Amino acid sequence: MFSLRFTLALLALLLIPYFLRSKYGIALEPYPAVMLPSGSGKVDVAPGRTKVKFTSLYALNAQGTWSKVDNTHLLYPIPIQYLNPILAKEFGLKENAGAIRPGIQSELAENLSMSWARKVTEQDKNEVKVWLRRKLEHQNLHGPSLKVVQTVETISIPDGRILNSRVAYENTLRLDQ
Amino acid sequence: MKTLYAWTNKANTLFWERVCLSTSPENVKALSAFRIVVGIFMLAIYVPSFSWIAGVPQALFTPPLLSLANLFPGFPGSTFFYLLDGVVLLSLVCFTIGVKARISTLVFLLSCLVGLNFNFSFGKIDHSILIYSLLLCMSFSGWGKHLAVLPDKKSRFDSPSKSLSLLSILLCFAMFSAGFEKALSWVDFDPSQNGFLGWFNDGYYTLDRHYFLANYVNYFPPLLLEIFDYTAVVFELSPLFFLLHSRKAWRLWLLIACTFHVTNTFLLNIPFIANSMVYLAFTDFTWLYEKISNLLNRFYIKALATGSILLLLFMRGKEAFYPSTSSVLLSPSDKTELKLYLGILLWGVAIILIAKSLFRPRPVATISEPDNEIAPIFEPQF
Repeated sequence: MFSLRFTLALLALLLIPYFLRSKYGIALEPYPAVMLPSGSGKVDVAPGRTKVKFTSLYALNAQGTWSKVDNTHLLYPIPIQYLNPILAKEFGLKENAGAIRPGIQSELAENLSMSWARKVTEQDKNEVKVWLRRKLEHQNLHGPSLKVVQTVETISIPDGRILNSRVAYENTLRLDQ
Repeated sequence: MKTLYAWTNKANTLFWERVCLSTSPENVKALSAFRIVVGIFMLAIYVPSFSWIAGVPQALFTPPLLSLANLFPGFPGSTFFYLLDGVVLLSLVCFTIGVKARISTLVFLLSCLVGLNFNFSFGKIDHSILIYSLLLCMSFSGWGKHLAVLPDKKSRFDSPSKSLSLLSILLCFAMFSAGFEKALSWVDFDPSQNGFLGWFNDGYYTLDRHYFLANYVNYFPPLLLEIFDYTAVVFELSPLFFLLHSRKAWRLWLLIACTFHVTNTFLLNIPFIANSMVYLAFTDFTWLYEKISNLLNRFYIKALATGSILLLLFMRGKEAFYPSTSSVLLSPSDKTELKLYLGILLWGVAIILIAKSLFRPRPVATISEPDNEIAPIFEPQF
């Protein structure tokens, strides 16, 4: 059967990536590594309510009013599960976007992310703006702006009613400049 | 020191023997039928394609810190991805039909891992690693020796028992990696904080996962949500105990795992379909081996099978090389509901097959050919 040496090597191969993720956060999770997502975060559900934070995108429609963007179609062919990390760096248009990675929970990860940050050039920014404009046109949404809105909603448990809604962050990206 | 080494060595042998007893395949030839199942699953449903990455703006390139992609200044050009997709598809077809399946599985695995490094460069690593672990382990199981166009030769590296034992340990560790941190955080005996709801909120409000029973989750009372938290922790931390207990217990855990995934599909709209193949590796496909062996004796079935694989290859090739909504028929990334229905179907099939292997009496060899390899294996094969 497997030798002791093999077992020890296997343990090292499994435990080192796991140690990196648990100690320094998902920003230092290596790939490939045999791991499943932990997702050990919790949300508040007391008393009979919970708070949710989510980001939505809005663009101007033909009538000139803000209309919610269909995120799946906007991103296509990029799979929708990458929406959050992409929104976190606002499609690469945010300042220092090349250093923004999800799960930076330690100084080491932060320092590495800063020193290994990729510079997003003006050419890259123009490319993404053209790409976004074309994607918005497919949804009959026009205009030079894309609004990123982060909303915090308080929801009643168990009936799901929205008790309170407030905008925590809002930024309008100019796609024509 | 010598005593400690001898003791550790003995413990190591006992551990693997125990794992082996729970996982050894009942019929080595049946693994070849399983190879075809995995190949068709990948070809029809799951194979990743990478050419679309070439058309994505470079501003979105933020690879994980410890990833091969971090060595690159940006997404590589279309030629790189076209070549990669070509290798992926060809090696996949080769291992499905059994053209030197060991090496073609390894080529497929390697090219997928290279492509996935870039796929995850949008800032998030998807945890589909178990299906690739399955391929790595099974490439040394001898699954390319039968039902193959160009069968693998006998090799000293091939060991069905070792392959499945290793796969089971990787599966247990992957579950542990998900469950341990949850246990520290979720088992808090405080119904005012909930982990399951964290997963749900993220998918429901950000990723528009509103299908099946997701709308009802908001109506779940805090106590039920708290029970979900503890159930997830117990489920994810328990597989090693089931594995070391007995063969039957291991299959019981696999059945529980399938039920867990069905529940997740209904409530969280996360189907995790690739895991179904990993769990199915521990069931017996002798019945399928017999069926395929008989069917392939008929010319028109052979022609039909070749035609179907060529059609799937053509469709995959079209998707890879001309990525547009209209050409993507097999696994469209924007048809979430379709994927979920597919997930339910696959998990249903997995539940039936695993339940059958759990409740069936100890099997006997059913293939009448006088071949040592088809004798059922109940003892570890070293």
